[in-house]
Amino acid sequence: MARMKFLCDAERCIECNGCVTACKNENEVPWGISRRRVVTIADGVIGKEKSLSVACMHCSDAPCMAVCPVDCFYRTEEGVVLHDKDLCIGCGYCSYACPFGAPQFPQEGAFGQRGKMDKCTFCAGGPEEDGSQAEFEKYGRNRLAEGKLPLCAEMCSTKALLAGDAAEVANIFRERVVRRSGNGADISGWNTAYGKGSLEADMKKGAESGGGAK
Amino acid sequence: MKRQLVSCLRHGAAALVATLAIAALPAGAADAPPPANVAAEAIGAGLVQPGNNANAFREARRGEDQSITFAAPPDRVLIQSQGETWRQMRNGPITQYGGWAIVVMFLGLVVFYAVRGEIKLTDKRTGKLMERFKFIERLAHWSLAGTFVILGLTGIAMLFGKHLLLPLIGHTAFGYLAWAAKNVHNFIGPLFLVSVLLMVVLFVRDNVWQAIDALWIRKAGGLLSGEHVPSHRFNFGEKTWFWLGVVFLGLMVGTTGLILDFPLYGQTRQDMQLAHMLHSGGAMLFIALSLAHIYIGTVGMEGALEGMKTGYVDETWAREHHEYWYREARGERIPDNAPRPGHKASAAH
Amino acid sequence: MKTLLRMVPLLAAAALFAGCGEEPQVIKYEAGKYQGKRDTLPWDSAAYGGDKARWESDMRARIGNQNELRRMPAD
Repeated sequence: MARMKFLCDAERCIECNGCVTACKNENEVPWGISRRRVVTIADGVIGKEKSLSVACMHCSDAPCMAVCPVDCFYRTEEGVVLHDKDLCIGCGYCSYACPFGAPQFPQEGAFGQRGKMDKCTFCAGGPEEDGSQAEFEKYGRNRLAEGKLPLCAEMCSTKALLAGDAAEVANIFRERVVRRSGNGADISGWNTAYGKGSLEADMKKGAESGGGAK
Repeated sequence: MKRQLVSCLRHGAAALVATLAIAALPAGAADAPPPANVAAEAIGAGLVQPGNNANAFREARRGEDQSITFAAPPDRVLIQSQGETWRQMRNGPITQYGGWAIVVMFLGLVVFYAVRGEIKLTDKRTGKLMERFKFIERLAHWSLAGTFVILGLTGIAMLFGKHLLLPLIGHTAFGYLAWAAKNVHNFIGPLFLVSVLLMVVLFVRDNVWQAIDALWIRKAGGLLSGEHVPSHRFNFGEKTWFWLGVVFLGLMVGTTGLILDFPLYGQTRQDMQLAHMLHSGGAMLFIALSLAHIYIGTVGMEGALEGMKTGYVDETWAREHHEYWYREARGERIPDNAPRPGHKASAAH
Repeated sequence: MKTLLRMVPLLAAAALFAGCGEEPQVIKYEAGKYQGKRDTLPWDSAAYGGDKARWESDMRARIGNQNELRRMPAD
């Protein structure tokens, strides 16, 4: 289990928002926050409408970690980016830096009084005793310690949302893309979503494999 | 079109912050996102994989024509690239150059003090006092100064604490400290802006351009030569601090602070990033410049602090440092454009 | 006075060289370097009692369950 990753298959996501609801219920996420969000591109345009479910991407070079003034972010051995709510001062810098809007505040108020930041934990709890009440109240369920995957992915009705070890999830997705007569060379991740010049790299990759011409 | 305009403004503002911090932009910070039509052409040419997520993510990243069912108000797009620019500015020039600006200014003042020493009164004190600052003016000044120091220290703790304090006192202690600093900063902030506005109203009349200021500029205020350059109530150095420090930086840092402090009015994350870059970049310059102001107002010049402390200065001090103001106060007429070449200057140093 | 004037280019140089202090933007997280509160490992939980191998095989099984293609009979 090197790196835990989410992967959402845009060809399968039907914008049911089941993952959002499941996450809110399982982790008892505070009011006004959705740790997971479903975006629909070109809503209603036949043949072009695509949906994606996105939460924290658990980046290996996380911007939230780089800007946090109190250094409260850390990465677990499984590559999950977590934060310590005891240290968090609620300044909001992580939410400015995050490309995916993953860190959010429980409520907004005057004088920047917004409580502690809340984010997707990959259902891995936080820095409290595993399975304890304190961990549940602060961070939500620790399903990883129970040998389970994040609930959003496990209950996804179309299996658009996959979670787990990056290599194995990529294999599942590649198998699907091959069945769709592609080559699966490019799967979602930091480079596709946020990297620089990813478009050129994708085009080059597509041209080399010849898969795009089919 | 509007998007492009906003994007241009953001890059422009980022460049402004860099200039303020006497910094050159890092090459990556101003990189424009790839033009949208490239993606469309690529799809048209069949170069892009169908069936995998590349297209969907690319579209999501372009941020156009998308809807989010359960979204917080600040999240109108799924993927924002501006966060990267903000991170590069905040962790880069604002932290680096801002920090060095303060350090260099401090060391520069130490050197200046070692070389020049305290600017003493040349003649003996007469013992007769002149009122220089009314009570309301001193109140405005000291409430501005007090809030400025608190905000400066708490702000520095939030920007540099991770590098300077955290390794010393550890995560838990620094977490409490930073939490306190943030809340103090947020609650004191509006008071600072009120003080700035009060200062502007009270002092703007005596800070307009007067002909004698040209002489002050030509002689660089006599700071290096030790010559006393005549001036009205405020000399050009004080006027520079008023317009650049109090008016420009004070209002900029104050208003952007309000945007950050009251996130209730539908600000997007991008608005907050822009406000934060102007706020922290401006604050770094403000703090660096304030060191010079504090220096000349305390250890740098004999008799300057007592003017703002008690409101009264000695007549000798007034005559030597603000000759025209002194003569006006004694009922003499000062010709309007009259930098007199042969005025009685005391070149003691 | 001359010493003071000589300081000017020196200070200007110091200001310019400040740029050399630029650090890399993104933190590379190093295991063990984080000084904050310690988090327990998932396999150190009550359910697994430190048995990393069993936790990994359980996780692998659950990840595999997400692939419905493997659950279909081969043609």
